[in-house]
Formats: sequence, structure tokens, C-alpha cells
Amino acid sequence: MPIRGKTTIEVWKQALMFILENGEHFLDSNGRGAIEATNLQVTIETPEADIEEPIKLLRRSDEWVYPAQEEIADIVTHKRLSPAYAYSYGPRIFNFNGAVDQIENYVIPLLKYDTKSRRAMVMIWNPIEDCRMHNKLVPGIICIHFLLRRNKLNVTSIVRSNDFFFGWPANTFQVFTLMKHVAESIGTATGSITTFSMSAHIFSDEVAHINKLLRS
Amino acid sequence: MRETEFQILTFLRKDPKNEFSTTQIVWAVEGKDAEAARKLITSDEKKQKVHGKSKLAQLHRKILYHLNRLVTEKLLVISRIGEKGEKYFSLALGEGEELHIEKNHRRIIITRPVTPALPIEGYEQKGIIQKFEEKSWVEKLNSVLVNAESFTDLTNLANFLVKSFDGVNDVIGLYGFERVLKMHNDSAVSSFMHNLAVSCEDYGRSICFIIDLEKADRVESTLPLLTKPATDLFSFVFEVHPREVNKMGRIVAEFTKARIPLNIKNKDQTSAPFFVGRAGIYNFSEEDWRIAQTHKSQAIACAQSTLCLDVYKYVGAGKDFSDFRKLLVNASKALLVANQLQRKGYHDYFGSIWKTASTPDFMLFSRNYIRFWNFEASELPLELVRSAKEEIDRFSASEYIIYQACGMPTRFEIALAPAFKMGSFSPEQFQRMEITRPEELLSEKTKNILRQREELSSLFNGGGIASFYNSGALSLQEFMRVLETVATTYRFPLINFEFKRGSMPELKLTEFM
Repeated sequence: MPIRGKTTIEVWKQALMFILENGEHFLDSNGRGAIEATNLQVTIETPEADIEEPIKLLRRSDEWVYPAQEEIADIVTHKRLSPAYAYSYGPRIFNFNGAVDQIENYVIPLLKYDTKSRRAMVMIWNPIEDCRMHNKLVPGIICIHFLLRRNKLNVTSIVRSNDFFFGWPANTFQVFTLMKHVAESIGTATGSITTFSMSAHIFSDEVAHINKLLRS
Repeated sequence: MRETEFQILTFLRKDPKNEFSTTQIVWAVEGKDAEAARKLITSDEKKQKVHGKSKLAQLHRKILYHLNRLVTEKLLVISRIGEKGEKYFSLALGEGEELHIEKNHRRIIITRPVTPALPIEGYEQKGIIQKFEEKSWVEKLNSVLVNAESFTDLTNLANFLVKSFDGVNDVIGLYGFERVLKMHNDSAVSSFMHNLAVSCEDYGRSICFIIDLEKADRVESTLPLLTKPATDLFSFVFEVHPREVNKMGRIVAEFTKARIPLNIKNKDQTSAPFFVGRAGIYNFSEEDWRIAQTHKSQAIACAQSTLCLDVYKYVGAGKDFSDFRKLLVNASKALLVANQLQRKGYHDYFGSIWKTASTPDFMLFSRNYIRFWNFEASELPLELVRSAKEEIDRFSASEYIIYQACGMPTRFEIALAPAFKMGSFSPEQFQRMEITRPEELLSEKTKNILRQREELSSLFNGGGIASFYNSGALSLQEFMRVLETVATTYRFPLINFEFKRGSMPELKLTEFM
């Protein structure tokens, strides 16, 4: 069932509720209890309005330290690989396999040249690096698609595995950061963000926090 | 702006909060010429020596001229005058301020990041918690392990170590040093040790040489070369199986004569390297070390940031332990923030050492340290430390999961370890125990104390240690019996002996930790 809403907070809460009510309970490969909804499609119509809100909410907790918004954004904007991370989106987006700047040399020129294009795709999953049996530290976001319609830039991200409580707010903010950069470069407004999560899940140890959030 | 001044600012940019001596700046900006001058100074010919000294003085004058110009332009300030009248400089930049400098189409931006409020500041004000090397708490790593086995050329190894000083504020552990002793002749080793000692003194950094006695075949003949350089900035760890401790007589005798602390790692207790810095002991977890060995990197980061806790002062006269767990979790949160800042400035802070090490795994095994000072005197229950440790382990694990969920898989781990003395902490409150005869080790009292320390040591996943200190008479044979008994009976991963004064017949042991 696709979930759709105007604001990020609204959509996030709806999706968490959906997973809680309809998800299937299972133990993940680390033995951690999880509740999973597969192929969950979620659309935020106006992310510009409140994309930062879920992050701000998560950062208010005393029980954990949620990453700073700046660091979350740096992950998609920094082109150089930092050894502090096992992988990073920025180098894959702006220097894929050491060869292709998918944004500056492809998506932006393409959308400027052909505003109707359906080819404005950025790949993050790199089979050369990621298709290794025992490598668990691989990107969650697989690809990002940019589509210019009615003078607005709409973005869809395909996410392999999405912790909807802790991960989705950051992932969506990262996609928005990239979307804003492309929109500004081609001189258009930002439109909607759709995330398609093949495994949208929450963990059993997060449920109390999620219930508290849903009640707020 | 002149090229030299641009280079000086580019160097200072790497660590905008720190101060640097004129010597450090000379070596950073005029490294090649300074190295050439130093080679002349160390030559046997008097004329060459004089020429080298004059050349080095010339370089100092040149750099000082440019530094003074930058001070006049209000880009730098003289932060202090050192012991021998040497000037120290730092950037004239407030927190959050930026400086933009352009030259020949090159532009550098120097920023002094704002440090967010940390949940330990109240404890810092009371002198209970101290950041180790506060000025470079974020900008430098505490320690790095360099694998000597991956260098066939001693000059390359020396250059690598000196370059690494840029990114380290405590110590570099030099692993596999027995291979250096095996592969190179006495003259080459002697010159390497001498030059490295000079560099360590210049930069104020330590090196800990790790020597596996099982793999070494000519350590004994090279002992005078190891103990000759007159610097406190060198330390040594000998890795040995307890059953082989009795073969260390010559090493013990030589280190006693030179009054150099002797550190013995018990290979039966741990395979991971242990090394000694000013803050305390550094090590890796067994699991990390198992993986690290398969990667065969030239260098890996060991410790990122350290907080030292004066447990005696914390507990105070009222013996109040009530918020100890909270204190440690707050310290963990502060370390997490430090790591966030480090990641942000990674390329500026440690970029050069990472590039030199040329390994993607450089940060894969690093940890942060919380170190305890005056632990025993505090009477803090071990059970409380154990449960606090479990809590910070849970916190670290949940942060790892959160960062991974956010598409930012990064390591965050904390190790606990004893602290060596920090500036304004409470005076030593260690209970001293003298061992004047090997038989004393058989007394119930001594056994109990050692068992307690053994238990405490097992809690310190960042490096447990048993330290002994001489103050009386033990013959070499008696000393060796003490060493053998401690190594074979107790599960201390590292045993430290300090030879404070006198020759072996006056040797007496007093334990402290």
C-alpha cells in the first residue's frame, strides 16, 4: 500500500504505524528481532517544508546521540572518500568507480538539455565493490532517479534495506540534499520525494520509542 | 603574501587550535633543507658539523622572519616562549572564525571549528575529568601502530615515522622491530635510533619499540644500541611467552644499567600488541588484531581521543559512587562528539598520515580511551566499573547501529585503561608494596594484592598492567625469579618494571598501579 502525505513527519509516522500494524516479525541475520514490510512505497509531497523535522526529533533524545544534520548531508556531498566510514555515498555519486561524476557530468547537463528525460539516474550500488558474500557494510540506497515534471524536480530513491525509525529520516534528508543541489543547478523548484524500500523494517528494541513518537 | 608564509599557514591550518614551536614549523616548511642540515650535524667531521649547525640556524632565522611578519599582520600570535627561549606560534583565530587566503590561484580556508557543549564540562571544571592533550584532543590521534615489517629501507621507515608525528599527539607503536634488528647492521640501527631520538625530542613525540623475542635472533647483541639514545621519549615492550622469561637476563641487566623501564608483554595472555605512551597503555582487541593482521597495513590508528578520570577525586571523602555510570556514559557521549568532529576535518587532520600509510583500513581498528587515575585508592567497587563498562558498550553498539542505519557506517568503540599521571589530578595514592625477596610473592598478603590487581587488569580492555618499582636489593637471579613468578602465576598482559636507581645488587621492587 503506497503511503502519501504532504509533510515528512506525517509520512514518517504513517509508515511506522503501517509497519507496526502490518509488518511480519522475524529475526535478522544478527539475531535482532525485527518487524518488516516489504516493497513499501512512501511519498512526501512537499519535503522542503519539514525535511529536517524527524532528525531534530531524534536528536532531542537523551538515550542516544543521533548524527548531526551537517554530517548526514556531508555523506552525499563529500566527493572524497573518508576512511572514517566503511563506505560513503558522496564518492559513489560524484566519482563512481573513480570514473564518473553522475551529478555534475550527467544528471544536471541531461536535465538541462532534455527536460523530459527519464534517464536521470544515479547509481550507488557498485557490484564490483558490493557483491561480496561476507561484506555486510554495503549501501542501503541503491539508486536515485530524478524526474522533471511540471517545472518541479521529483526524486525517487530505491532503498535495499531501510530501518524506518533511525535510518529513513537520514536517508531521506540525504536524498533531499542532493535533490536541492540538482534543482538549484537546473533552475527549478523541488517537488516530491518517493522512497521505495524493499525491506522497510523496525527493530523490536525500537518499538517503545516508536510508540512514544506516534503518541506525540 | 610570500610563498613561505603561505606554506606556514597551510601547515598551521591542519591544527588550527594548536600551537607550534619554531622548530616544528621549520621542519614542516623547510623539511628537506633541515634534514640535510641534520645529516651534516651528525657527521663525524667537525667542519661538517659546524656547517650543519650554521645551516639550521639560518633556516630558523628565515622562518622566524616570516613568522614575525605574520604576527605583525595579525594572522598569528606568539602563544608562549618555551624553556630555551624558543617561540611558539598559533593562529590568531577565534572559535567559529574563518580565514581565507589566496595566492597564485590557490586558496586556503582556515577555520577553527566551534566545539559543541559537552556533558562532561562540569566534571572538567571540578578537575575530575581531563582531556588528554586538550589542545589537539580532536585534531590528532593519540596513537598509531606502524608495522616495521612492511619497510625494507630504514630511511623510509624513519621518514614515515617523522611524517606521522603530524597526526599523533602521544605515541607511535613500532611493531615488529625485531625484524629491523635482524635485517640491518649495527651501524644502520645505531644511526636510525640516534636520528629518531633527535626527531622525537624536536617534535615532542614518543615511540614505543615492540620486539617479539620469539622471532628475534640478535636482540642481545643490539641491546646497547637500543639503550644508548638518551631520550625518555623511547620505550620498549618485549613480547614473550612466560616460559621464556628466564632467557631475559641480559635484557634485564642492560635495562637496569640504563635505568630504562622494562615492559614485558605476556604472549600467553594476548596476541595483540601493547605499547606505552604518556597517557598510559595502548592496545587492540584480540578480534580486531586478528583481522588487522590479515590486512598487513603499513600503519593503523589505535586511539582517537582520550578522557582521563581522577577516580579518587570523583569519589571524594563521602565515597559517593551514585552517578558513576552516568559519568562514564557522559564521557562516552563526549568522545562520540570528538569523533564526529574528527570525521569532519579528517583530511586536514590526519590526511597526510593516511595518505602515507596508503590503506583504506587506517581507522578500522581505532578506539577511544577512558582512563582511570588513582583507581585503587578510591575504593570504587569493581562490580560498579563492570556494570558501567557494560553500559558504555551498549551505548557504543547502539551508536554504531544508528550510524549504520543512516548510511554512515563508522566505528565507535571505547576502551577502559589505567591512566599515567595527568597535570592537575590528585597526588598518587597508590598503596606501595615492597618485594625485597622472591619468597614475598608466596605470602598470602602479596598474593591477595596481586589477585585484586589481576581482576582489575582484566576489566581494562584498553590495556591492563602490573607495575613494579625498585627501591631495594635483589640480585639479578632473585629479580629473574620474581619476574618469572609474576609472569607464570598471574594473568597480567603487561608487566612493567621501573629501574629507578642503582645497579642490580641494590634492586628492590615496589609495586604500584
